[in-house]
Amino acid sequence: MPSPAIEIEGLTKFYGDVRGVEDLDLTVPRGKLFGFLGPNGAGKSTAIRLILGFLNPSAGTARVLGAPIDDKAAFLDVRQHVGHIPSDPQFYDEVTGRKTLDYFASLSGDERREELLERFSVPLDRPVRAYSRGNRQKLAIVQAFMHDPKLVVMDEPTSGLDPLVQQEFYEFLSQERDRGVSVFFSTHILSEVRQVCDRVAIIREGRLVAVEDIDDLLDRSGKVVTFSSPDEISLADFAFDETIDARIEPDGSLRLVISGNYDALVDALENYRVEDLEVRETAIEDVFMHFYDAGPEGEARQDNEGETETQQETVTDGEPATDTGVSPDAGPTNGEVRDPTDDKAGGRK
Amino acid sequence: MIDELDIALFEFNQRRRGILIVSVLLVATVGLTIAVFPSFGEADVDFAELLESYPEEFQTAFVGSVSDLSSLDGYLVVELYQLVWLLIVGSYFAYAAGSLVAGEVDRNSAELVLVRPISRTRFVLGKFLAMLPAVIIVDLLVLAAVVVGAGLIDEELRLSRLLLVHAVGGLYLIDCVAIGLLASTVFKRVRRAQGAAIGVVFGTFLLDSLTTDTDYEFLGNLSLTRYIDPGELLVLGNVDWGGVAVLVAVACAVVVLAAEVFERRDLS
Repeated sequence: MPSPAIEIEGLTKFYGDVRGVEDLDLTVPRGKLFGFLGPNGAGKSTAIRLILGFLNPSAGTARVLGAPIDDKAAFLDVRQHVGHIPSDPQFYDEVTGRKTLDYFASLSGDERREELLERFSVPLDRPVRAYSRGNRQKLAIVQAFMHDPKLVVMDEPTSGLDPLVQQEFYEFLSQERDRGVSVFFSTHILSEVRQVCDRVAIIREGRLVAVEDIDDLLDRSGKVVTFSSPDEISLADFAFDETIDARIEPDGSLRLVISGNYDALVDALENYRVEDLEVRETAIEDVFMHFYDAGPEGEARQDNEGETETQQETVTDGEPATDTGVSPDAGPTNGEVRDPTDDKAGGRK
Repeated sequence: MIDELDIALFEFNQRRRGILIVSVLLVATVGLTIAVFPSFGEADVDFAELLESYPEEFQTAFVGSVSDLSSLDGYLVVELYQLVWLLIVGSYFAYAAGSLVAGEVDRNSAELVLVRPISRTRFVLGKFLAMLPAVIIVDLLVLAAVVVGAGLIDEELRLSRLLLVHAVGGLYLIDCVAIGLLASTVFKRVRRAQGAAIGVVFGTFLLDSLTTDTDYEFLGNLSLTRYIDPGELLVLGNVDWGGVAVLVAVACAVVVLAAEVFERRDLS
């Protein structure tokens, strides 16, 4: 049995009094696409930097491909098999892409460079200073995978990629996973998790709140019903056994999450004139909301009882384009974490 | 050793333009300094008297042990080696080295290197090695400029003594690089590292000058300039081997310390 790709035990990092992450326990199995989801500032980057040995933990430890991060010699050897894409990767401005890759190749090899460059092409002979954000990101992908690592750790790897390249990258990740490569990546974009990951860990405020298989998460989801009527809608009419969540929106419409059959709903609707009615698949945002509402994690539950300001910590993407599976590009506002209970902010109908 | 050399070569290649510019400026400075010398000698001024009239601290700082400005070697010690070399070129190398590690940490490119099987010690060593060719190039170009310049104004300099001053002077610059490297591992921001590095080189230079012949002269022992005397080397041909040993030891110790600091530190 090979050791897991990453094992984290009680990992804690404080910057002075400021919590980076606290008491993180997590096992990332080999050969999986593992998502690490959380809003900005939740501690994702801190956790990744700890795992890769860039930061010294305040407490706890981690093992990467079996090598403890505090065993310098073992950890040094194992890094031959690790690839990394930092958040907002920075190279050497005056150096061309080709020479940058030559440099990294001299340190850890580049068996797959050409193949990767065919897939993620960049203007190799221009200095990196002239690269767009997307090209820099592609260069980062090539350098992370070109020495054929067994584990790749990425910090928000798709930011800056245009939607087409993003799709290509997702596909590439799946193929890598099928080759047995373990991938651990942080994101705050739920659609990405849904589309790409086998399993996801959710972090908020520096603590791990859940680790779930994506399929399990989605199985819990139910359907979302939106209903508007010229009549005043009473929530009490819609409190069925099947109801997971029901609320009246600010515009007077009803938003209902139900699982199971629709019989009770259809009966209830008889009492109303119907202006608009929509039944759709649950977006992953709704699943997470559901998860935070009803999930087994006491802490999440507790937090969700708070006021809006704590709810805003809840992970959600909220971009309307998520149903297409393509997260809309890429500007600084992309995938902003929003309050899942605030549908105006989420832009959903 | 291969990884260090790869890192050194990559770093050096990025610095070629800067080294070229500094070399050109220094050669021009040498040219101007030497070009002025003949008229300097002809002027109707008693330079020995002029030197005497300087405040003592000023003499120690900028004149060194030389008492005769009428010969080219004494003139060069005062005008070139004591001031330009020890203070300005030394500060420049400390400044330049201040960005070696902090530059990569500051803009986050260090992560892309250090995620590979490279220890931080080897990374620091590679960065240090990158500056050695820069020191050698600057050293040799200035040496060549002095030799050519002296030839052009038909003055004699003893090449062996000139080599001595450039050998020990180069060693001094390597120490300045080491100090910059250490600052570069201590501070996460390039500007702070560079500021600290210049501050140390400049500050200890002054410390040496200001404490000489005072009750606090021992404080000057902390200064690198206490261990190199261009006047002794160029005018008299005397090598202070104890001083050379100190310069070598300091360079080694500071580089080791820089590596240790960087090994233990958070990267961001």
